[in-house]
Amino acid sequence: MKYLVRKLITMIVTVLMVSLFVFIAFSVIPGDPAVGMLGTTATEEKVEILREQMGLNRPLPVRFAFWMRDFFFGDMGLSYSYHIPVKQMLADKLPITLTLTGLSFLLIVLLSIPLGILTSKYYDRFFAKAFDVVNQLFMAIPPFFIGILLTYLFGMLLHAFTPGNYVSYETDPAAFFAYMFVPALSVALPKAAMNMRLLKSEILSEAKLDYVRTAYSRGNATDQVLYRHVLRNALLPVVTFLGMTLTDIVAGSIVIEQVFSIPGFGRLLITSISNRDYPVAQAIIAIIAMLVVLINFLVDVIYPIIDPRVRKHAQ
Amino acid sequence: MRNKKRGLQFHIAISFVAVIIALVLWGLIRTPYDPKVMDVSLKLAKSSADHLLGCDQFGRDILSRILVGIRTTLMIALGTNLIGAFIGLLVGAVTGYFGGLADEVLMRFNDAVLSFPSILLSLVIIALLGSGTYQITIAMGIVFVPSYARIIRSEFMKCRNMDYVQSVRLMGAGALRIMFIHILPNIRVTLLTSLVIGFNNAVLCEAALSFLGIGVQPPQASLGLMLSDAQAYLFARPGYALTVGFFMVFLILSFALLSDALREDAHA
Repeated sequence: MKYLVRKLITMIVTVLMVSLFVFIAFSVIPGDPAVGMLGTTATEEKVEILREQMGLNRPLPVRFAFWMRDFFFGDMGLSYSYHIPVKQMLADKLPITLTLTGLSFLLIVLLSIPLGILTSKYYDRFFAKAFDVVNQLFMAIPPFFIGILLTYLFGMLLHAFTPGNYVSYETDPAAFFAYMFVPALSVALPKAAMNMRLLKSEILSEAKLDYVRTAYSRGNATDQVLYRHVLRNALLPVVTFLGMTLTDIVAGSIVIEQVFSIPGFGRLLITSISNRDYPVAQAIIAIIAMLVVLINFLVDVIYPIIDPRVRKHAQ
Repeated sequence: MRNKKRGLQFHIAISFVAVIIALVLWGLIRTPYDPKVMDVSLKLAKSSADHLLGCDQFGRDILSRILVGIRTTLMIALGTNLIGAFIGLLVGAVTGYFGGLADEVLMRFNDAVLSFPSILLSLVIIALLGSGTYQITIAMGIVFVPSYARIIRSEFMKCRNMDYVQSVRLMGAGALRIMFIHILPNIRVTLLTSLVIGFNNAVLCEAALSFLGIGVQPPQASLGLMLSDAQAYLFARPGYALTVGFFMVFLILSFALLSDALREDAHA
């Protein structure tokens, strides 16, 4: 309980620090936000009235406090480019990015864990060694290039995927998931390669320990030793890695959405940075940052549950 | 057997890096064509004796642009790591050597920043500075500071109470002298390995930012920017994207192999 409270306090402090960082970063950008909204042709009076309405004449700490309050109540300001509430622009984008993140994570787990077990079980076979080379190669390919290669493979050679033919989840959920599969695979492959390598090296180093020899001497078969003893210990660093991966996937989706023309957070973020639409960029970065903090917190909470040593230390 | 294997990986990595250096030198001495000169008649031209890797959508020679692009990417990676390593060294050395409250506060902040994906932080700084070659070098350099600071701090903490440091302290050496004349040379292997890993990460990050259109700006060439252009012509001229992608993967793979080999050597 004490551990949980400590982690919760750390999370709140981190959220405050992150919010402050994002707020200050966007406050020191040169240029007047009121002029940004009204355009350079607006009269000085109009700009001054808007500045007052937006609270820009208040001191920075007061503005930060109001921004935090508004942000947590869902008021993220108005878009400079479209003059509509940012919240409205983001509402239908969040499920898209979360689906991409979730699907990628699922693929990483489904690919890396069975393959990691298989290649470590038969580590001296040719196919396991070949996998090592393939793994090294996949780790060196940036996800956006994997995306391009998969587009070529599924789109041009297999005709199983039409790039750019995104279908909204509101129109056709099945077609939406089918379209999201290739982008999710692009994000997942390099991370799955890394996780598979980690799991393999963990299993192989655990297999050299004394308790494994004891388990064999008690008459256990290889599979029993592997699944009942070795895997339990080998999976612990993998869980930590998967937690870190989840935050990377959230960020990686920014690039992948661009490759596959997916209208999610990432695509909107890049457009808003290019158009200098700061309220939108600020809101997206703050939301992604909060998601990262939340994921880190959840990993910290899960860890003592799966590792008795951490639980004991936490107590 | 293991040593022989490690040696092999190191030699492969060094050979790959030598090829990259040769490509950079080739681009520096003379590119086959001017990488910025357009020729509409050669739009998306296929490989030929005149243009070994063909031409892009504006009829520019792809090989010439790749040679310049590799150089741009490597210069950005170098700049990024110099900024990151220099500031990281100062922060890491001071916090690791002295410890205390400043260390606690700075490292808490450091850990908070480190837990964020580098591309997200780079985007925040690019939103501030704008896009362009110098801007992304500075942005990525700032983003790389915490990881260098963390590694250097732990090395300085390890060394600060070692016998040789105690001895020079007794001989009356000042803190600055101990930190930079005595401890720094002893952490060079860790620093070198971190630099190669950082170099690799910088190549990846630059490629991603330029691919997104907020890194290197046209008409300058960078592998990420070229890949972004090539994607639009993937079905018409797949060779363009595949060639640029091949060079990008080769660059990343070379530095990944080198960092792996150096890390294994350091642990051996």
